[in-house]
Amino acid sequence: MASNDAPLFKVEDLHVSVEDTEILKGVDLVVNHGEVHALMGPNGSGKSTLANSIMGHPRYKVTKGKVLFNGTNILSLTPDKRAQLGLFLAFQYPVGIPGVVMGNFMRAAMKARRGEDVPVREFRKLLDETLDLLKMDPSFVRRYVNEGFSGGEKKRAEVLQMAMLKPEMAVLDETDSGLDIDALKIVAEGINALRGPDLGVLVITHYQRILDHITPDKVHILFDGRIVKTGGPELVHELEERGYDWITNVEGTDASDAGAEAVGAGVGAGKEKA
Amino acid sequence: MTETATAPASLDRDAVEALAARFGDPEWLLKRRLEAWRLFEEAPMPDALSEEWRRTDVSKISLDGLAPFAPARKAIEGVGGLPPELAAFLDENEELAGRIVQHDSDVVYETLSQDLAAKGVIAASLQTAAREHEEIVRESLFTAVTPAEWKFLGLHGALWSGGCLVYVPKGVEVELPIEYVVGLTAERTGIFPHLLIVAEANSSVTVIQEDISSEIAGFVSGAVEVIAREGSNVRFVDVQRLGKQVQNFTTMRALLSKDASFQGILLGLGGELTKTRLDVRMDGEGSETELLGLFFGDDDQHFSYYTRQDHVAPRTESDLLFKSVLDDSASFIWNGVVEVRKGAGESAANQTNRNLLLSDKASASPTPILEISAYDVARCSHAATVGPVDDELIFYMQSRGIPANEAQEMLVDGFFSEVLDRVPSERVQDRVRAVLDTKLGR
Repeated sequence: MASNDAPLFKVEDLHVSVEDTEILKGVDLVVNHGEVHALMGPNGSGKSTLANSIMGHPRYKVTKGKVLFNGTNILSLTPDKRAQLGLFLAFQYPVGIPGVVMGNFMRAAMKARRGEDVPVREFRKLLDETLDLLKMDPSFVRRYVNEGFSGGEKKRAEVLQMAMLKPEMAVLDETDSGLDIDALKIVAEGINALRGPDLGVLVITHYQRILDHITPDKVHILFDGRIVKTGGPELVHELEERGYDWITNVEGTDASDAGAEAVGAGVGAGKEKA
Repeated sequence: MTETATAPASLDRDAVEALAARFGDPEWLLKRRLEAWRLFEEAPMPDALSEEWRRTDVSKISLDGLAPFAPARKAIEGVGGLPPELAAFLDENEELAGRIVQHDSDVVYETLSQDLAAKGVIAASLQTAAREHEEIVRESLFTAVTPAEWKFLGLHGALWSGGCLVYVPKGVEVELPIEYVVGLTAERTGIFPHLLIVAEANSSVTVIQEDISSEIAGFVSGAVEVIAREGSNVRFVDVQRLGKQVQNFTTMRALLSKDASFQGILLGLGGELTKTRLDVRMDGEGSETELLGLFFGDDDQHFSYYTRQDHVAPRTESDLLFKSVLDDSASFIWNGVVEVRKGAGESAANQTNRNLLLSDKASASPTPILEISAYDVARCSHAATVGPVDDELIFYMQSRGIPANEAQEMLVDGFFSEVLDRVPSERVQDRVRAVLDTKLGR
């Protein structure tokens, strides 16, 4: 699906401000087709800002940098255009949409994603299979989007939407938060079922536990608006044992802009501020 | 007076007599008209400083040069016979139990299923019924709404014409709706439609009133009276789609006997200035009221609603849900009173008004008021909100590929769905949805 040899998804020196406070201070990241990356970091490191900026939330102002999707900079596109291209964001806090029924919502979204109406039978079949995969009750389709859903239902609904919209690149913003272990397993299984050579995934999480179920190809650690460390899955366990203080201290011992250096061997290695 | 039979006179006492003569009203009715005229003359015009009117631009309201009634309109064979600008609103093949069509001052079409007529149901011109069913009309007319209430009701009492009587005998259930169409094409002419619904014990009926007009500077002062006797079930739907230069002042009141239930559904879409009062008086123990409202205003349309849920008897229940969507410079006012009187113990009441603003210049001012005199109220609650479309919802929907304008449309639909979902008749639901779609330009 990739056009020429551009990576599926590339974030380049991304700087983002919220109400004049700079939150992201130069993030670099590359996710190729078929890869699952984990982005970990303590509270306030800028994880959700990254997720929202990628999707184009109007509150987050990109002051510098690029987000390339199949080689095209998508930063000037509205969120719906980004989604139509095949970008997906699973929200940390999905909002309730009173009066809009899940089934109608999904049909409108699929129509937008495909650029044409989805035949009813095909829609129904896909929906039934996905509900089954995520162990969700069929009545769910007749409920208002996210309204009165439990925490677990909301997260499953996000994965359901991802499964139906078949994105090329999915960003999962703390999809594990607020889930008990059973719900976490179902959600992780759902995501694993969607893994494949055409899909890139960025799993954003504070905790390692979802990564016990979804093994990432690469792990990045975000701290104070920069990716300060990148490694393989073993980084998750290192972090588990040593905690975020370890990273904080690495950062603390270096000079103020040491973040970029700490990335070192990681994906961000190409970034060298002149 | 024969001279004035077809040509409108000026707005004076002679006009009242001319109107009665033209329609051949019985003597008792003329006497009531003249008494109402006296009340009209004594009552003051809306006062800009009063609580009731201070949010409405009363400078726009004037009776100067208003014709008291329109020239006679010819009888028609069906709604297709109406002027095209009115006919466009109506479906000739609508499945109805009966249909009464008023064009300006005259009822021009009446039909009722033979089956229902045989059971004693009446759906007819009220003015004709005043002669042909005198006992019913004489006993009930102006018992729920009275000309003494305020100036324009005085004027209405003096000059009402055409009108519609729906009478359902004891135990008769009318399944399909009965429709009363009020269509205006007369410029600067007072049109005074009157709907009187009398539902005898354990009967049930749905009446839909359609208010429509051509693009004229029109004036309507209407009344709706509902007498729901013991155990009866009355549903009243008002679909107001008047032109954008029409001023509309309507008072609606339902009186409920023991165990009666009333559902009132207001759909307010048209008009330049709409001032509607909707009251329900629950006189009978165990009676129930549900009031639903959907309003969509744009340009500089002004809507002002006053509602009263009056709990007189014990164990009565009422619930109000009004929702408005306002674009451009449209404004919406709702003053809603829940009154639980001393004798109305164990009653329950709720009122909710939610307003969605699609523009910075649009405004809504909801005022819920509770007046509780009973000591043992079961439940009493109210809520009111005003706000723009939530950007987070738009972003969420956009993130699924749905463009912002489509997302907003879906949210408006969703906003109204909460009310529509509570309309038990699918037929009425579909109809209201279709009307909303038209207003939303779909």
